[in-house]
Amino acid sequence: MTFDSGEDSLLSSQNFQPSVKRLRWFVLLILILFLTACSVTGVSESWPGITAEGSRVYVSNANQVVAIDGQSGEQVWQYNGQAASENFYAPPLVEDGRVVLGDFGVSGGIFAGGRLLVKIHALVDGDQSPPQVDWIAEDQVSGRIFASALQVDDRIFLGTGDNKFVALDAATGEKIWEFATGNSVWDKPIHVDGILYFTSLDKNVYALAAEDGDLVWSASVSGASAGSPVLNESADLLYVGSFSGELLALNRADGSLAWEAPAEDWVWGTPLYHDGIVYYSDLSGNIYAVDGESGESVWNNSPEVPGSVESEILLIDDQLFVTSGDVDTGTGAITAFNLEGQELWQKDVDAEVQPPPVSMDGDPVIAFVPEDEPLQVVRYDAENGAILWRFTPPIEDEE
Amino acid sequence: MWQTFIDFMLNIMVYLYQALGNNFLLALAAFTILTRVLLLPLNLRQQRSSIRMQEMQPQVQAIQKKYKDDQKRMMEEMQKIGYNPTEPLLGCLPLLVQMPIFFALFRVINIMLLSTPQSLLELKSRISAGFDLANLLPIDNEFLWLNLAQPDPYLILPVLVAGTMFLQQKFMMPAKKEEDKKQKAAKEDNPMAQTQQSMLYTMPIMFGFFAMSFNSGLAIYFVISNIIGIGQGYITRRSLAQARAESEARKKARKENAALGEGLEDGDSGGAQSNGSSKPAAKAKKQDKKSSGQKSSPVKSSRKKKRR
Repeated sequence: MTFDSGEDSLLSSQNFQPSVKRLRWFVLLILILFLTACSVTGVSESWPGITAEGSRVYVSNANQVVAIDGQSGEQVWQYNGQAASENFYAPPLVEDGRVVLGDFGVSGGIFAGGRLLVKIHALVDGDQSPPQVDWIAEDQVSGRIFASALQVDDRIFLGTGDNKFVALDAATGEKIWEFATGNSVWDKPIHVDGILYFTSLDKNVYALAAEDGDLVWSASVSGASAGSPVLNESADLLYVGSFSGELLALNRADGSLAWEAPAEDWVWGTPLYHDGIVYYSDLSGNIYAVDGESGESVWNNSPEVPGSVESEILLIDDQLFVTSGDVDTGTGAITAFNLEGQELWQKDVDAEVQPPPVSMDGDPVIAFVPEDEPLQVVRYDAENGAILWRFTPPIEDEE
Repeated sequence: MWQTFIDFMLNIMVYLYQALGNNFLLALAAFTILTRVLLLPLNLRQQRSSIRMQEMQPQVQAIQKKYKDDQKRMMEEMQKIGYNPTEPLLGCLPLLVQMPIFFALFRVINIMLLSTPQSLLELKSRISAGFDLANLLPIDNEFLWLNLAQPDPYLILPVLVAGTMFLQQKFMMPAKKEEDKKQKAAKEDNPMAQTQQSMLYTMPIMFGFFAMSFNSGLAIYFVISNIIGIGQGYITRRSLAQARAESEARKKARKENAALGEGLEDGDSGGAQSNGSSKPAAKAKKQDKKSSGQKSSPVKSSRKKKRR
């Protein structure tokens, strides 16, 4: 390599040594910036959580939890957590005038020994915005929370992203017991006769005693599961969707496999059981209906929706509502079917719609986040798919 | 382009995971070794040049002092001894080349360890159709006390990252025993050496600090990569030391031969002169050279030495 002998040249000038030094500090600065980017945990990495209860719709997304009036589509309150970096993706649990949900966790950094700090927030569901905080449970769980919680009497049960299932005191948020699973728990449990049933990505379905968290049984199944189990009380069967591309029917007593019904792709969403028939979907956008006792197909042809379905099917009266999204195009849809699997209407959405639709006074409400845009919540007319209201959270003034 | 790179790395990681008995840690270790092997030529070159540049510091310092008022001449003289001022900048190159790899790896680990439902969907859509992902799930995210998708709660990994990085950097420098007094003195008033010295401490502290908020998987990548770097540094240092020792031995042998030859010549021309008298003769030769107008700079002599 040759030198540039010009006096102003970076390398040949008198300033050569300081230039090397400056460059090294520049590289160091770039590294700091990139490494800081690597350590950010509060980026939007999941989809909104949505719940409808009474006259309100509750949506959690990124650093907001909002309560929306179901009739007008107006915001009732907005909660932005305790710190700007707190994010919420779990569907809120609404029980006893309280909204409970876990957050996504923030990296505690040096002052927390590198731990992920995850909180469970219990908010008073009044008219005040931001809502009054009933309690915040810190240090009770250590993994990100995607799953909605379930409240039974004075206890709250929920699964975490760090392979735990916990029971908390509903009045204080204090942990009562904890159960270790083999992998993350992404959806809420169901409670039947003092026993909690839930799935995990570890290819197991668990049955635990709600009282003390003792294992009643665990059933190893053919694939990981992300949805909740669904109970058919008359047949005493639990239905579970599996990533092995099947709907599994397990005997509630011991978790043994009763039958399995096929799908073309992974069955992600929680199945729907209604009137002797199990409805389920897969990631290729197929919708299936099988007999709840035998697993025999009920429909001649599986209807399809655009993109993939990660959510459970919503039943309102005699209509089925399915939300879907296409990863490649970044678009989605909400589709209405009758119980025979015939499409009634379909409305396109300019974003993937992964959360399930919820029911508000007989109409479906969905939440989605278009690329580079804020959250949107839309209520459709169940009859024809006309938009009744559309909500976008207002930007809160920083105080 | 960036997405393609991430997809490429993701597919390699999934392949390694499948090939190594569904063990994420083994897959990560294999991936790190693969990366280090690919970067080996660059790393070796940088390491050799770094050691060489530091060994040249006394000469560089001497030139800088001597020609502090004549920049052009200073550069010429530096060029003559083979000192390339751009080479210290190359020290950053392996790190810069590695940067896209570990940013992509950060994404890959997050996608693979299914830290979010979104990442599982991403994994499914990005990997080759040849992989039976449903069968590979769940990707084991636990190792000892660690959840590989989350930071180490006991701070052991950040300490290991800082410690191994410090050792690796230490091995990039010449061994202490090889540093003579002149080099040490030169270091003290050389801003570049001082910067390197400060980087020796600041970089590990900085990486250790950031490793507190990295997912453990990425911190493990750093630890494995640093350990390989230490081994590589050790071997390079040894091979350089060996080459230097051989060259010294050759020089010594040549000197002895030359002295012996001169002794014989003197013996032939001057009769019974003792060996000790050859030194004044050599001095006289040098004097002759000087008086005949041949300038002998310390630069040239060191260059000659080098060529030998």
